[in-house]
Amino acid sequence: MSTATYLAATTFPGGLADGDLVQSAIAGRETCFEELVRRYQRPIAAYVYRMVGDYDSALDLTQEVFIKVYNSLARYRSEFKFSTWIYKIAHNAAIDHLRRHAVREQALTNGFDTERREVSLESRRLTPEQESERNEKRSEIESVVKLLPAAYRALIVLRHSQDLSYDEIAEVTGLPLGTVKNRLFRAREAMREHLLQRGITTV
Amino acid sequence: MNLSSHPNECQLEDVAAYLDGELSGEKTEHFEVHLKTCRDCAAELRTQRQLLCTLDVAFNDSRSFQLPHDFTRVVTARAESDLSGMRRKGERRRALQLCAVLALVSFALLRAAARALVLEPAQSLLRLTEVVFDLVWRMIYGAGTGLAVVIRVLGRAVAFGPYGLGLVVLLAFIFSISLLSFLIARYHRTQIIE
Repeated sequence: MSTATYLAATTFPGGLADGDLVQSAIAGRETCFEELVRRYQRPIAAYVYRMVGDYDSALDLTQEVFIKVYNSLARYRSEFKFSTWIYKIAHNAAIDHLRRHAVREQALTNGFDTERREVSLESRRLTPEQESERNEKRSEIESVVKLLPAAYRALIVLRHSQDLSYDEIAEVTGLPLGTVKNRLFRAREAMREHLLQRGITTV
Repeated sequence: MNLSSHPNECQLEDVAAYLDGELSGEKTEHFEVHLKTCRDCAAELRTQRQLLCTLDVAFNDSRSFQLPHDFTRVVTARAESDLSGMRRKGERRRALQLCAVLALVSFALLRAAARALVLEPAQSLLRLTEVVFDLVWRMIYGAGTGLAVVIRVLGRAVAFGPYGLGLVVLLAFIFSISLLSFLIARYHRTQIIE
């Protein structure tokens, strides 16, 4: 690690790239690992939450993910994107959780906890009625996602909520690129049918 | 949407990939040329674009997922205190060596403590028990010897004394009387029970 990177790691870790933060964390600078947690905690928690459908389980799993990340930092290879690597760990944790608890696909919609999630959008000068209507629709869309099989749900969330590319999704899920492309298309078709059944075409 | 309504050569997955910006440069050009002549794909493009807008807006809140206060610090602290998080092999080996040394020292200390606290009291207790058993044995032996002497003297006096025969008859009489009263009592008890 260069002297400049070392100084940045000790004084302002927020300005470092993920790879440098990992190297500094391995070298024992705990503030760098904390910065990694700060950077990825929300997207990872949001992804896990959408996969398992339960707020408390999502928080526990997110903690597990970061503990696993911390313990595996030395095995991280810098040729891969850190974000893809951490999503892969989160994806595996979520799938393991679903397997362990044998969650049926329908069960996700029943106990879905929407109270503690913040669903605020950037303000676009909507009237309170419009805002309320949009939130309702968004909740409907969220519940439709929960109706999808876990394999489809993961792809929809990774693509639309986490903005991952097809290559990154393939890496995270371990699927071939062609399968990702095909399955993502089918997942969207399934979503569109569900949305049409509920009379939702736009948000 | 009915997938069979599209001509066979149209790849609907390509429409989605095109919208996602996932087609290569050559394929993108080819697809855009195809779009100008294929109404079905153009319609599919509009439909999928609308769906993607809907999904993107609906999922645009992942950055605002609400986490508990101090979640970052809690997670960091838990990760750092997790014992399985000893990342280097050398560090793990050193920890094992330290544990082994500590175990040996503890064992030696325990051994010394055990000698002082357990072995010595046990030995004195054993000695005390030995003394008590020896005393009891001597008492029993003395009593037995005394009883043997008394019986021998009495037997000799009865057998060879001048009133020996009379004494035996007297004893037999007393025994007979006792036996008779016992038999009478037993008879009456049997009667009552019947």
